[in-house]
Amino acid sequence: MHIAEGVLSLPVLTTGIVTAAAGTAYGLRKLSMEAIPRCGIVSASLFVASLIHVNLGPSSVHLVLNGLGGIILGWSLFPAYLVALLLQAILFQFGGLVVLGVNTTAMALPGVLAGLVGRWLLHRNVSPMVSGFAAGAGGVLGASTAVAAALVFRGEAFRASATMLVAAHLPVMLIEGVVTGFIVSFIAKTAPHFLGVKRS
Amino acid sequence: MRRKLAIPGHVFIFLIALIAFSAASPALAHRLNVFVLPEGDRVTGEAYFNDGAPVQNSPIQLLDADDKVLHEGLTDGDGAFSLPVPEGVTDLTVVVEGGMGHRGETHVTLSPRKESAPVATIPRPTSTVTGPTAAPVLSADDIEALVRKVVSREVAPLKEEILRLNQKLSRPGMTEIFGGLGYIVGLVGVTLWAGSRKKDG
Repeated sequence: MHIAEGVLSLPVLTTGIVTAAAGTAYGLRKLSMEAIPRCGIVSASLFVASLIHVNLGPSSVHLVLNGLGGIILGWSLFPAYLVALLLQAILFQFGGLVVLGVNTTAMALPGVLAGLVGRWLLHRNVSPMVSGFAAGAGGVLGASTAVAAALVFRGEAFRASATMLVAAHLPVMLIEGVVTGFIVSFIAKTAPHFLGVKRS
Repeated sequence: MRRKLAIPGHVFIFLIALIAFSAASPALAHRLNVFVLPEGDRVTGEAYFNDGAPVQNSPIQLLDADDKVLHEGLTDGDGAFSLPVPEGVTDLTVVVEGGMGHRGETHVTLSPRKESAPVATIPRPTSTVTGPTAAPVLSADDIEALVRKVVSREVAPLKEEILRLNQKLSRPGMTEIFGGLGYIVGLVGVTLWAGSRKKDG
């Protein structure tokens, strides 16, 4: 779900850059020393996640893992995403440097929110599998909506575009939810403090 | 205690990497490639996603050096297109929009077309050995058309090959993937080092 260079208008690009900068600054402030390796691992996972490729008709989609990142890192998902997307832009020519802000925001913000939902569910003693599924599926849903929203300003009707994007990502939402559910269950057993369970 | 807790992280990235590489072969989405070849007074080519899937029935634009739209059209079911190039235009940009934020463009520079053939009348071979030289004289246009036809037929497999090669090259290789992971590891190291210096000092 990378938006390519040259598609978006200036206001959208600027909004994206500002939001991504604010999110990254906030995420870095919240990043404790012991969370840095975790942040790097999530960043590396996001970086390779786009190589897991699911062929769907004429379009092609890949795992996003933003909900998983959000549940593990919280707001520190922003810097993790920024690094991953920057490297993807430089090395794979996915997206681009000018749209980096928009892409970071479109992926990280829904990821953070979905992660918060996942953590909230965990705090309410909902099983990690279900919480993880909610975070994973919610992250993809949010990201496709955000991409659609960014595309509105160039004339692609929001309803049609959003419906198409969300429809194309429905299978991804399911896969992502299940994958995230399994990983969250695993982490909940082995390192519950990763999920912020300790904090409350 | 902290060291112990780092293990799940390693297991985690290992799992992710495992999934990634077991599924990595069919390549990627989210990059749109446009392959363009000048062909006489037209440009033809193909548009495809990184996984090789054609960009079907998508709007395509032909722009000149000043970003003025010269032609608009649609790619066909195989992602192929063929657009006429107006005379005198040498710098072209072909833009394909795949929808949902997908977009690809390619610049082409054409060699300036020779307008009138320099030899309008072909000089008769003067050293004809035998026989009448009344063989049908082909006009320059005919010869050009003939040569173009033969050459384009001969070159067709080559073009196919270049297209395949282009598709292959546009996929990220292991070098890029591991290079990127290396950068992330390095960045974590630098951040940790900077953080530990701050703590010490």
